[in-house]
Amino acid sequence: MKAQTSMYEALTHVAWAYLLLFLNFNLGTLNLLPNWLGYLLILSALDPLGTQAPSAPLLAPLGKVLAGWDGFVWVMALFGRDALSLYPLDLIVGILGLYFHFQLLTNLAEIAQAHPSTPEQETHPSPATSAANPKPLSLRLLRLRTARTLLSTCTALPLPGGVKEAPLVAYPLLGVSLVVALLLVLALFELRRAFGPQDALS
Amino acid sequence: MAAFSCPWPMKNMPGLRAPPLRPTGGRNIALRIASIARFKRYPAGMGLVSVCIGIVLLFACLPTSLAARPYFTPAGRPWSLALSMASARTTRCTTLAGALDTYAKGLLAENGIYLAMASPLSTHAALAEAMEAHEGMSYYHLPFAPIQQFPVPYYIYNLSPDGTGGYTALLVFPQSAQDRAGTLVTMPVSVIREAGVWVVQAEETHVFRSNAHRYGEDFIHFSGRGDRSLPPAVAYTGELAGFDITITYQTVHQVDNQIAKNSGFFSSTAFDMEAKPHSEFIHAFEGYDLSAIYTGDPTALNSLRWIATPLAQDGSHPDMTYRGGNFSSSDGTFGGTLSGEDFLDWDGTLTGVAGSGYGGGLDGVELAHPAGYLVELVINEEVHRVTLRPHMGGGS
Repeated sequence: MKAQTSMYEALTHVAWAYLLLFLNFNLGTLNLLPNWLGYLLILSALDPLGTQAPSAPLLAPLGKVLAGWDGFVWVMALFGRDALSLYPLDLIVGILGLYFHFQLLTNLAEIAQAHPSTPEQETHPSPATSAANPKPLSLRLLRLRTARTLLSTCTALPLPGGVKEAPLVAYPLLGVSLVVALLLVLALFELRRAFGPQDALS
Repeated sequence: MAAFSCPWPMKNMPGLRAPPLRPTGGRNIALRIASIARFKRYPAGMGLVSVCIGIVLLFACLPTSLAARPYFTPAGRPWSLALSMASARTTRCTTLAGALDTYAKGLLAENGIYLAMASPLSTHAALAEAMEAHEGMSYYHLPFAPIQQFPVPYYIYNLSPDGTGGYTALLVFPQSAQDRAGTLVTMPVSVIREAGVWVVQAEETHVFRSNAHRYGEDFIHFSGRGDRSLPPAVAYTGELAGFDITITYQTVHQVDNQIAKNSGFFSSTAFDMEAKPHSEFIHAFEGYDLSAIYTGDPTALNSLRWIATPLAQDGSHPDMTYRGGNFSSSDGTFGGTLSGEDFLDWDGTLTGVAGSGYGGGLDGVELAHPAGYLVELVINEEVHRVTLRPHMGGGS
């Protein structure tokens, strides 16, 4: 029960963290919902997540690097250095971010798959076939993880200035990214609910 | 758990260590082999992200046209001259607009790496030598210290094909210091293709006094709408009914360099001094001015209307419709009227100023100058017409 409560808190942190990462409320060009705060929330959740996804805590070093980088960029923006580009550092951080989120979302899908209270497929597979028949929430998380990774790859590609801002590229990319972000946050809150207090009491 | 694998050290992972190898541990050997086999080149299930990371790194390694960037300090000085010059040779300008933007910013920031990016390879040795002699800065190309803080610190005037696949243009740098207010430094340039990229060849600079009164004192902002003090791309001349008529045609191109600048909680727009070697033109303006000097007896004139319209290569032209007063149309037609009191203190000169702006990106770069102008004068209700042909051309 204590482990379940701890997992619920961890998933709460993760869900809110992704909301922070996806949402940017800017005053001027200063982000009032800073990404480094999102990464700190994720870092605080990694150890509890490790009880069900053992590889999750191993993301801590990467998470610290990403939090530190975003904190640095945020402070630079505070002092008027927006649009900061320290190539190829920003490229490396982009790659680290790709890996970090891919593995974290994979771990979260594993947790969704393993938790008994998340809904089963209609066929109710046996434990032996559960890996081949993932639960809907786990499958959804995996699909959203894949979509997010592909979209992040597109935005991380070091293309010449103007290509990614071209309307034919930017608007579809932005539209799909918004949909994926929304669905991902909803899926994360759904996973959180599965570990919620009601479930813990039952 | 058995299927777990990850790229990180396993020492923190209870149950994931490979069983120790002992002389009697035949069973452990099998387990150990199985453990080792679980580790592949990348962790299980991480194939997709591994491919994505590979693609990003591949793009970052592509030379010339995509991700290559120049290397220099935040102050615009080389980290090491050899490394920075090498980065300039792998970061060439793939567009005409990009070459002009990079070259102009190289001049403004005295950044020899930018200049090298947009210059023929044959000039690199001299550039490197100059930078070595000036602590990493390029030598001054401009007669005045460069000014970077304007909304638009440079303009591209009179961009015209040179007939051999290249272009000529005039780089214009407005100056605003107290003793130089209203001064325009100009540099004629030619832009050519060299080994598949665009490079700029510059000529000597010239200094002009801006025709600032045309748009008031804010001449720098309005330099994007042409300036009579600067040479035209083409001039059309002719004579009609006692008037010596000249129409000048001038173009101004701009690259999108406006960026948001943050000052704590406040933001404003600023000019982006980072070179854009792959950029396209975002805005262009074509201006056409008429000047007609009457050489006859002004007292003989009671009424006067004039209209000028551009001619296409096939001689066709827009409708010549008078609209009263001074007027202009987006099709390039413009005109004016003098009557009654206008002749009391008339100095015998007709002037007309008009132009058209094109924003939000250009389909191509060329604003082809008209093949000629058809000018109509209606003097005392008598109609006179003449076709003006290009009298001179060139970007400088």
